[in-house]
Amino acid sequence: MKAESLTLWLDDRLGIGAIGALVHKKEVPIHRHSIWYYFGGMTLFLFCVQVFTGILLLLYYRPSAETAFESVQFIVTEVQFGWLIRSVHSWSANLMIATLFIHMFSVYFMRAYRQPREMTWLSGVFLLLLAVGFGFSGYLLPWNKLAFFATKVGTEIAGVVPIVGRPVLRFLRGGDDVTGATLTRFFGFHVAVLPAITTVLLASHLMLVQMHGMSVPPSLEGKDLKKMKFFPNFFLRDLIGWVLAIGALAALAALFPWELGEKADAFAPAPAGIRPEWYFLFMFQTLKLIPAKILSFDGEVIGILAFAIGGLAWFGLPFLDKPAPPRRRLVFTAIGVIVVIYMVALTILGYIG
Amino acid sequence: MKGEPRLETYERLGECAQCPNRETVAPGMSANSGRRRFLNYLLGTGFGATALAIFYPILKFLTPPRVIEAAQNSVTAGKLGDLALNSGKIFKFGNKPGILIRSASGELKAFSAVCTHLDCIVQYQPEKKQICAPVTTDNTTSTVKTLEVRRRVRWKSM
Amino acid sequence: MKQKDFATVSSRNRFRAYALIPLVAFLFLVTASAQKKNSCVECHSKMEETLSQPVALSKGDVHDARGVSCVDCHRGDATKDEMAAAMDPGKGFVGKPKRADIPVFCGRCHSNAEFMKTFNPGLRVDQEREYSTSVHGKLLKTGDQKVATCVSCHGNHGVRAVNDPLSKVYASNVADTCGSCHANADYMKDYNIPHDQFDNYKTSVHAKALYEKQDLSAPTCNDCHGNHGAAPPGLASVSNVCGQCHARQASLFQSNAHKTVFDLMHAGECIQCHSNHGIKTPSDEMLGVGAKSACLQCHGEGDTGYAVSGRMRARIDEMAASINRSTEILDRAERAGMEVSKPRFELNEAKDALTQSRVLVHTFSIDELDKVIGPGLEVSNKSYGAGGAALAELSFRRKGLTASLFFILFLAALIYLKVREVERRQQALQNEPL
Repeated sequence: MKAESLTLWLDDRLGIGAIGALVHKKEVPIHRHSIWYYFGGMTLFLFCVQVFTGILLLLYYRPSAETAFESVQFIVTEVQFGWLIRSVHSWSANLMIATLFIHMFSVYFMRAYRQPREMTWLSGVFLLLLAVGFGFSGYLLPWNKLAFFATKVGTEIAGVVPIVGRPVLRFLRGGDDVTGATLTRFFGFHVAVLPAITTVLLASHLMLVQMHGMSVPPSLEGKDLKKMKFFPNFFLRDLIGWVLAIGALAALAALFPWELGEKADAFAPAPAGIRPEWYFLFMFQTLKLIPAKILSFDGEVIGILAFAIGGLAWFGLPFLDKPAPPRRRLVFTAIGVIVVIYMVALTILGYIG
Repeated sequence: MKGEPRLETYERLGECAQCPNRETVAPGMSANSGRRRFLNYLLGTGFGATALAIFYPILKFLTPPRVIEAAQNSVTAGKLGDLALNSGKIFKFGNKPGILIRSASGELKAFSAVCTHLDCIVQYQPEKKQICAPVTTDNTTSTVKTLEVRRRVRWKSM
Repeated sequence: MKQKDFATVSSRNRFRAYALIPLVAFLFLVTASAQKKNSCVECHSKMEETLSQPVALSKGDVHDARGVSCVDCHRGDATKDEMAAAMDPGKGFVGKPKRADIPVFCGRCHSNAEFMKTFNPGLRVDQEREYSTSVHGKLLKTGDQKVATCVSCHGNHGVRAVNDPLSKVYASNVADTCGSCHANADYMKDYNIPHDQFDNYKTSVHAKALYEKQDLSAPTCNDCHGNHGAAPPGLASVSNVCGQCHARQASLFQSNAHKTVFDLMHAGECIQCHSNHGIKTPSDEMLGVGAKSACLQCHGEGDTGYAVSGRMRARIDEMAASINRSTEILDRAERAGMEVSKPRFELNEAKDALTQSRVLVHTFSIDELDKVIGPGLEVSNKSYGAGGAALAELSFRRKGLTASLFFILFLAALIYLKVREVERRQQALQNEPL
């Protein structure tokens, strides 16, 4: 049966012709900032890599405090190409979050969150939280010393929030301390809860993008821009990026394999200079720099609340940045630049400090 | 087949002038179809090779390895029948050596086999009914560390 | 028989019970007020420094804590307030005992097994007898006024138990106590013995264990010299003394021709190579034919001992070098990201063999050494092989990566060409009128 007749057969039964039509209709504007359009797809691709390698790891991983570390050690030493799958999974997680940030900030600076794309932005911010949740929960799973203490410190900070902090801490940890219960819980989050929510949100996010089409920066609005078809032009270009990403992941896995470290020991003291993964570092460093007391309030609490407020503002961005004179645009661009510089600067500080 | 457009005469779907998805070979450009075919062929081969390079490791990954299970928190030190009364046996516990002792009364005890003096591996001397280290051969039972309580030594019965 | 409930006891008997209470209270008060009168303490506590010191010191005194007071040692009568009556020689009063009489003075109780049993059945009662065999005891009998007696080490008043950290004879204080005389060049100038023992000891590995690591099982003066029967051990019994802890080395040495020779030479067995007070951690340099070799004290070039020493050292060096090589390659593999915990674990056996071989040096036999070094080298080489295999696997991965990257980049280039081709056609289509 030829491919064409198969397509017709499926279309008769599943109506895929409609999707095909949509895909063929989709166009991508070409302009100075078109390069940023690729980062959403790249994030999606890396997420798929995560799901795929994650499922493979799931076949050998054991989520209990007594066996987790040994099972990862087993994967890395005994299972054929286990080292590759594990390192790809760890590296891809970091790359995904990096591309996610780039995607988010490019959307911010290109103002793609404006009407009618507010819901796309909202679902996107949720997806950011989910991705960070994936990172935090997944980091604990090898149950090594670094992960154990990073989780301890991270959940401790969550517990500092007034009123809800303590219950949230207990919910996250599955108790008062980080124990095997925490590990099992985080595993549940990582492989079931978060994927389920992400599936729904990701589907909505993608659907919304298709529905509203690609947005164009305000400066180029109204102009008659050249367009390229999504399929096959943009898609093939996307594909180049994805293929190169595979190459990058393979290179990272072979040249910079992800460390296993030593098994977590609840009775040992925290290693010196413990710090979270890079995507949390700017917040962690900020909290370290805040003075212990600000006007009789606990410095740490103020810091966390400040971040919460900032996060809420970020979330509600489409409703704050209403269509306004160019002056307003400049303000928001400036804020964006400051935020980026701040995050980068504090991350660097976190490493050298 | 009835009702189907005559696609066979064209190279690709959409080449017919009425089709909106036209990747037509414009008249006079038929010479390029050879190059196009070659490119498509290479592309197919390239994808195939890459797919192979990806799926080969995955297939190997899915194949159960030689050692079936990861090391557990409890290890099988040996058969009960193999361990006579008043004797000791060294076994591997994760990365550390342990010593399993069956006393004259049949009681089983497990210790870390690493002596705290110079990290030698200790032995059980049945005549003295003591754990001894090769350097001092003193009564070193008091210096032998006990494995943490939460780990257990399982033994296989006959 | 069931106990009678107090409630069921007859009222007359109950009265008798209640009547006892004031009687008991009265007796208690009487005995309390008659609590041993101690006129010694009453007078001496009001006197000047030297005479009131014994009272002050008695606060922490182990004798005082057990109810052994002034008159139990010094006799006399503590119930009398007048000096003459209290310190009456007729009542057996002995003031400050003469130096030569001190052992007997203390021994009156401490050598009395039946008496000491009532305080501590485990305490030895032969200190006085041991002391008489010691150098101190013998010199004391000749009238020497400078040698140590009981009170020199234990104190006279304010004596503390040996296991009391504040005691002058607590493990970590012994060396200072002995050194208070023996390290004093001036004090010791009449005796024909060196006075550098304390200084030497302080530099030793035993002192490091005792003072820095707080290991109370580490030897101090009395562990080798004895405490009451203090005397240097005979030159032919040094290995027995050291062998109290270093049992294996001692027994290996004693089954060896070296023991006979050393004893004939009055060489002091262990101390000939390891020194007596300033004992340092032995190094491989003490073996072999190098400058620091202890063997060269007797052996010279050309004799068998020289050759054996050289060969033993060579073997041990080989073992150590092999372990270092294996550790280094495993480190390299680990740094590159390979998992090598198993070969590292197995290398421990080789480290064991090295430790053992250093002990077996005391057999002074190359064959004995080889029995341990042979298997040890095998293990080390195996670990080295595992490290090499890990690095080879790493190299394989990198080659695999290069090959894959080639395919991937090739593919990326192809897709790019495809994009160009597609767009060219689309462009041509646009330009071409339909």
